Amino acid sequence: MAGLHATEAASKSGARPLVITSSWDTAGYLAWGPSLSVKGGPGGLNQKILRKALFYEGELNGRTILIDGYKFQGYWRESLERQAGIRIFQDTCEDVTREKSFWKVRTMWGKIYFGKTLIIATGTFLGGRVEIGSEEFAGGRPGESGSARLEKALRVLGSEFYLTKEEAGPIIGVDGIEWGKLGTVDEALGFCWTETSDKKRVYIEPIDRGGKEFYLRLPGGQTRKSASLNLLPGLKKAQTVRPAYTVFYQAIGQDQLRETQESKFADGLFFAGRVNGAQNYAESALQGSRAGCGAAKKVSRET
Amino acid sequence: MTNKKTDFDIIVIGAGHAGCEASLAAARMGCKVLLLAINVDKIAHMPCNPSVGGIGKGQLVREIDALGGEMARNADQAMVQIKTLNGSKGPAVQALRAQADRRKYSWLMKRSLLEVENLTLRQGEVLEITKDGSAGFFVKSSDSQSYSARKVIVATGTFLRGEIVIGSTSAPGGRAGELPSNGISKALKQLGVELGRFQSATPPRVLEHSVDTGKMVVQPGDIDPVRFSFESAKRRIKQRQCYLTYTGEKVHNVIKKNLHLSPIKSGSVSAKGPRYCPSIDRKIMNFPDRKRHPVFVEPEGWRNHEMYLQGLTTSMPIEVQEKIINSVLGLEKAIMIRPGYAVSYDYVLPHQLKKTLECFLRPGLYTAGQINGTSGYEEAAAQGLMAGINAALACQGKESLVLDRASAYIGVLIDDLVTKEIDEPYRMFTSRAEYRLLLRSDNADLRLAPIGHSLGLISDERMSRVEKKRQGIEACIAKLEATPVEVAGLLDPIEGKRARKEGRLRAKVLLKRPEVTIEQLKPIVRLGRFSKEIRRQAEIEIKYEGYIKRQQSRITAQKQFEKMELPDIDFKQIEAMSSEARQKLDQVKPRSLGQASRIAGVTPADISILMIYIEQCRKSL
Repeated sequence: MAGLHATEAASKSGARPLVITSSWDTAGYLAWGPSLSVKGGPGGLNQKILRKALFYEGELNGRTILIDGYKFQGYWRESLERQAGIRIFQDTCEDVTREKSFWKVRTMWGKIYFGKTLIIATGTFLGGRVEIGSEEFAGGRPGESGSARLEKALRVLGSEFYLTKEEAGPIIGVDGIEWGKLGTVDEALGFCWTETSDKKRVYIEPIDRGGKEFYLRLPGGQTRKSASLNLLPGLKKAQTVRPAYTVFYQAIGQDQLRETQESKFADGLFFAGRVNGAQNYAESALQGSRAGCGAAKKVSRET
Repeated sequence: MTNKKTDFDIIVIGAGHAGCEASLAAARMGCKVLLLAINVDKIAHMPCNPSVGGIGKGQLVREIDALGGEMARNADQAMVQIKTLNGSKGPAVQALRAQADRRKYSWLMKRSLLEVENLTLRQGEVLEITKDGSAGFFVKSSDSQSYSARKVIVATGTFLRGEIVIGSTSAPGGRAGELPSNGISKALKQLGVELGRFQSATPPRVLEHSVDTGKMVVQPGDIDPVRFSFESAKRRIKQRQCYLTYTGEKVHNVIKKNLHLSPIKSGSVSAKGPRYCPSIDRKIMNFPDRKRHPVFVEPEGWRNHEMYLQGLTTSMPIEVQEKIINSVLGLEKAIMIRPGYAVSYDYVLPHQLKKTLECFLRPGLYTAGQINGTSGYEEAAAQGLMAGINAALACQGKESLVLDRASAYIGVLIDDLVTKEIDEPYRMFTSRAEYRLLLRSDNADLRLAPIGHSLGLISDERMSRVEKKRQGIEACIAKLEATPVEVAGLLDPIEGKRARKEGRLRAKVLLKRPEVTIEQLKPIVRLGRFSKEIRRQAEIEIKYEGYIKRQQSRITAQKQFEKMELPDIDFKQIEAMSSEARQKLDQVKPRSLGQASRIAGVTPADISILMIYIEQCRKSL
């Protein structure tokens, strides 16, 4: 999220950005479900793309929107792929060093790039470890490898990280949901809710329009209880498609960054998104845009 | 624990093209199925070209459709372009090929999986497969869950100990950006399954806006497109264009100069790869005299602006890949978005399988797809469908389904896999089928829908449509047989003189002439009440009647031969046979003369010796 917005903002500000991603297919993936609480507008999210992918808007503990993940990813990819000033390269960034006034990036497959500024928007992938039930493995999301080497390189450059965690709720399939036992937000979309034994609401959010998967937004700190998901009313026979997971990763504190998201200790190095502790899509987007603008400005000032 | 009821009837491991067909078929046949995917956002993913069909492969897709599989329907909905290949050649070698939207294809397939009853889709990497007494198997997954089932179908593609190579670097991976699966290789070995190693590769992709298509030849789709599924609506669709360009001296020089950096030269890719889909480095090495090689530049979807470079497969270092691309006409300024790479992986030596795709050694364990040493989405889907059907039939205590070489390309595929020695990833070609004039793309529904219907995979409604079509064809042929036509009215003025002497001939006889088409006869014989599809079928049946009859009589003879069962023989004892044949026969242990005759390395002379030997055995009894 932060990376896409940073790229877009940098390009708009006249810079020529390069995106390096381990998987272009998962760019813009909504790992934390389709919904977003927005107060007075969707924050830093790109309006044009959001409008095309948004498929629900209503009042639920404040203004809430649902974003169609399939469309959102599609439009974002299309938007960046079509801009001649933007380069995209699918590879894993493994090393970062300073060479004169440039940032030198080396990828897993041995490609070397030089940039005047560098934005780190690695989400939960920096030193990521995923925990599902009692199993734990390296990675930023289940099935996707993390970037342990990049973490080391960034530490060498003087960045200090702290260990933090994020929890993603489970995704369930349509088969087995007892709709009659659920509270309804939007019937046509299958947007519903149920309740835990202590009367806390669990929202059942469709992840895209016409799709057959639903993200369960559990009340804070409850992902570990997803094994007991079938105790929730209406979900007795529900089938988990993707289990809930917790990801532990390295993040950088706000005290290390300037307002432009630039590091106070490394000139031209920016951090944005979850890696800087952003709590939702809007915040990630905002940080990304800020970093993209900041980085572009820095480049134009130097030349 | 052996008496414990299992959680599922069937567990399918891997949600690629094989795994999806296997789980859909088994669930639709009433079995309780668990499908474990390493990543539920990559279901039915097409890591190479997002294209479905092609010569030999298109026939497989049509057969999958006729048996009630999903691939054809899915491809019809997700396609961005479709065309009939070999349209000007005979009907036996004509085939459909579609370019699909990769993301849409995957999304649609996932939706189908989630809609089907009895099917549970779950994300998780399989860590262990163990035998659970006589009751079945235990499968342990990375989400710290264990599941039990009576049957297990392993359809893990290139993920078994997958290793990706670019230049001199290699890293574990099942596909670019995805972790491999190491637990299953170990589990299979522990279950006694023998593994080999193969390699596959994919070309780099470039950004569309950086491609100068003006310098290339446009490759449009068909104006009046045929669809893959016999059930898809035949409407005109919006299509995207593909492009054709060529490599030249400049490209070849770049490759020759850097050949020492090619993984195939340096030996870091030593496993056997598909010969018919060689990397550009290998093409330059093997055909030094060729001045140019074609490169097809193809879109990967509607909202996708990456282009696939068919023909430029390479796993050279990234800098060299860029140089190669930029030396191709029209790609001078192309920007690479994903590098090409090679992947090597473990595969199951398929001679260990029955024709139901069940392991001889481990009843209840099936393998399907690229894991069995094949290449291609279509070959994988066809095996998945058959493994799913057979696992379900076994669960229900019913007789297994084996298609023979005379009834389907799927039969040819599986028969080749389990009997022939596979020394490179296996790909379907029309030339692999002895009876290709019978196994046409256009008659797959007539051949196989009755089987799909008896399995419960084809609805009564659809079956009655197929039956109606069959009757229509018969009636159309009968009408042509019965109707005399004035030859003079039909032939052109130059031929007219000779024609007049001929007077009236039956329409069917006339239609056998190469220059006469059924559409010419349509107004004269009044065939208007038959659909174009039916007329076309009648035309093929009549025009190729002689060949078809010949193939049918060969099938009858082959069936006699095929049926001849082999008693328990110690093949090593038959000293008159070549040592290679003895070794191969001992390895495969064929159960019929037909099967013995198709083993690579067994010559017709060896078969004659074998027949004499059996005869002697019988007499001495």
